[in-house]
Amino acid sequence: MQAVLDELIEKTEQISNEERDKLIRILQEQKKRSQKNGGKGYVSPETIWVKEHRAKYAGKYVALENGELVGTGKNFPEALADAKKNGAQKPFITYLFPLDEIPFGGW
Amino acid sequence: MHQLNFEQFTIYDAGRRGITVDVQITLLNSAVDFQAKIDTGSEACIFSRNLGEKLGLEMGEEQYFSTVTGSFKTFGHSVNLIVADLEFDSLVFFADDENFSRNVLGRHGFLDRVIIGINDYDGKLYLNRYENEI
Repeated sequence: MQAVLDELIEKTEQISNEERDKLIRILQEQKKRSQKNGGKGYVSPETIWVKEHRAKYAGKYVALENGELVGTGKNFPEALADAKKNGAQKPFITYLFPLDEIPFGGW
Repeated sequence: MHQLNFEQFTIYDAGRRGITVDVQITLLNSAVDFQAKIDTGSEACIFSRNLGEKLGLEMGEEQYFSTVTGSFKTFGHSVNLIVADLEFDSLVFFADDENFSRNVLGRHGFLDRVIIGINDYDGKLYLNRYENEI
């Protein structure tokens, strides 16, 4: 295992800063996965945030970045504008269904 | 007279049931390709359970959806959704029932972040990211 680790470390010397940032993000998400979910299957930081905060923001759009709330709104454009105003670069934006409603699934 | 400009264009088979498009969802370094129907009546993007399993997902945010005949359970997960070369980070839902075989692109997670044009006579679908409009 040490040989594999040494090889990985050596290879990281050859990649760009952008690729290094991507690698760091993947490693951080993998670490969170094993911490939050017993390592059995993946649940993203955004999904974990939704599970933990849905009740408070139900019926609204939320914008998340790096696992933190960066904006809210009553629709996608409002949440995006709020997130940009707060300095977010590429926020994850989603609507949170109210807990007491069963939305229509189509067909 | 109104005019819309679209960044992406794709062709679908107008002879098939529904407007069916190629979709890819990715998460970390996993990806799965499949086809889904655009469904303006669905409140969300809902996919079959096996697609979530292929991505290594489990037990996201529980959410029930209704249909004209009853309701069904899903689990919501944030994924990277790719349709016609447009990429979105969206919360989508995977059915709990492994017999659930439908895949739909609905309002929240897809339609709420695109400008969409449909020429169903010719099977042509035009798409643009909402962000490109502002």
